[in-house]
Amino acid sequence: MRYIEPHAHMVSRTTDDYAAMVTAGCEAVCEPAFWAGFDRSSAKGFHDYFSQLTDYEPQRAAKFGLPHFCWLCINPKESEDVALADEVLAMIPEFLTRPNVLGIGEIGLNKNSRNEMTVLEKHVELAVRHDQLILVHTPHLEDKLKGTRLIVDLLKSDRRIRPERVIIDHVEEHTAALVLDAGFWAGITLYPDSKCTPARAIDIVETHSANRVWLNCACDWGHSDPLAVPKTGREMRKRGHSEAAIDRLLFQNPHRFLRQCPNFSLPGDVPVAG
Amino acid sequence: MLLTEAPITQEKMATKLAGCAPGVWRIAKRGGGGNMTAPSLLSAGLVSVIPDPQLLKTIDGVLRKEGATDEALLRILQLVLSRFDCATGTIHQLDQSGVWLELRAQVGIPPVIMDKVARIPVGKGMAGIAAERKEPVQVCNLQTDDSGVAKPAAKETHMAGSIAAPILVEKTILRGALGVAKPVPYEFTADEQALLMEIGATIGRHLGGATKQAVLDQYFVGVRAKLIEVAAFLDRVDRAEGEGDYRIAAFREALKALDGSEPARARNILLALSDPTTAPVAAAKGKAASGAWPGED
Repeated sequence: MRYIEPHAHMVSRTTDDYAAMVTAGCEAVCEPAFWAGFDRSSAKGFHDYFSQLTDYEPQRAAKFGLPHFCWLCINPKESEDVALADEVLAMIPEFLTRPNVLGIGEIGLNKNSRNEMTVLEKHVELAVRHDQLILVHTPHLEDKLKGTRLIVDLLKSDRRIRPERVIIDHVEEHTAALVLDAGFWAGITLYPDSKCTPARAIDIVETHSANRVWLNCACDWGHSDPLAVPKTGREMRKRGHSEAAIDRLLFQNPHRFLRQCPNFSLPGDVPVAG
Repeated sequence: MLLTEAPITQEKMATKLAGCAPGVWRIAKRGGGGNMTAPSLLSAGLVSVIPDPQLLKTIDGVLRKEGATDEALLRILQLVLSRFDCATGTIHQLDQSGVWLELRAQVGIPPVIMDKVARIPVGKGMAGIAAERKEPVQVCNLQTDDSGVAKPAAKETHMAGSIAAPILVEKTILRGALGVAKPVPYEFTADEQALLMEIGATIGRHLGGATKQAVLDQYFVGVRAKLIEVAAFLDRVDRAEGEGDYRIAAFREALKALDGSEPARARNILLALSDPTTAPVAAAKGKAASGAWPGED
């Protein structure tokens, strides 16, 4: 089965993972900017990271025939330091012209603090000013419900935001409707412990919607599975979903959202005007 | 072969009538007496062979690949019509209310009666009666039928021998109805009824969600193991020394959601473990989440 991995932190993964993903049917991988597991000491660290995402990592993926795209931001886990965030935000525009950049992400909230909200607003402003797609991270575990509400309220209050150009990620059973009912796309993240299992992800799709939804593995340096998306396709097959339905969810949906960015193109795609 | 009041023998079943008396219609009755339905004929071993496994495999393959789209169902209906040498046919799907059969595919239905065929109440007309009784219903000649089983509009199809079979999964769960008809008087044999029921079952598996049996078969053992893990975890906490904290209290509170009767237990457990407040906190204290809300400071 073919699929797009729309959210994977490949800089944390080995080349074996690239090989396994391609073997499993992955046709493109998209990498949001992320926390390194430790706080970077200065904006220069982000400059290097953005260079890695826009230059080195696409080359590494290309060795496996895999198109690599990325999103840029300072991750919510480092948003408590607003001064640092301002420096990072100021350097992002110079990277937006790189050919594999999809938009601003993964922005959002981590502990739902005032400073995180401030930095989120600045990211949204940057995205609007540069007409970029937006990928939003929602907080973990007990903080997710509140964070999702704050994020949805903030985005809905900005009339310049077109919900069809925003994906709010990491929804679970208690937040999926909040996101979808507001017109945004919803990402379901497949994690072995936190977030969703393949079975729960398909429960959400079956009970909510399969229309504006994508699945992702969000694999990083933590406990995660780079093959979680095709494994969820297998789960769908076991439940009797058709191959066409699996293809819509695993490939066509992310393709439809990402094609709103002119930089996103796969072999066989008709070029987007402009 | 007629499904009559008289006991059915294998010899009789092997006899296929070329025609039938005008106005004769048969509904295979449920239960006892000499009458036997196509499914019961199968289970009794009187009809032992499903005559066309290749057709069933083809139908299943189309649905596995494409899903139960209107286009796929139309192609399947055309295959069924060809197999039964029929000119007209319909596939209806039971709606969510369980009251109406909605037309999903048709061949040969005249436009003048399309509105009557598009939505049929369970219990009315051949498809509706087949759905209600969960058994095939046939009319030997629609043009001369005066039984009331077929709706008067059915004559507008210009068909004669016709049959409607329920679309059932696991033999009892209704998903719709499948009907086919010929332009000549005809009685469908027990083998043909059995095949129609099998075709219906094959289609039905793709017309709705999973059945309870399928969910249990697929998930019970794995989830049973997780339930025991929960129990063992609680035992482990109880055996351990010292004090617990807000996490085990929240865990025990969230467990109550498992007793709920509505299918929103996962959502309710997540809500029980969530921070219910709405205002941003003054400052982030660390980066990690603990899995349960400790309460406001």
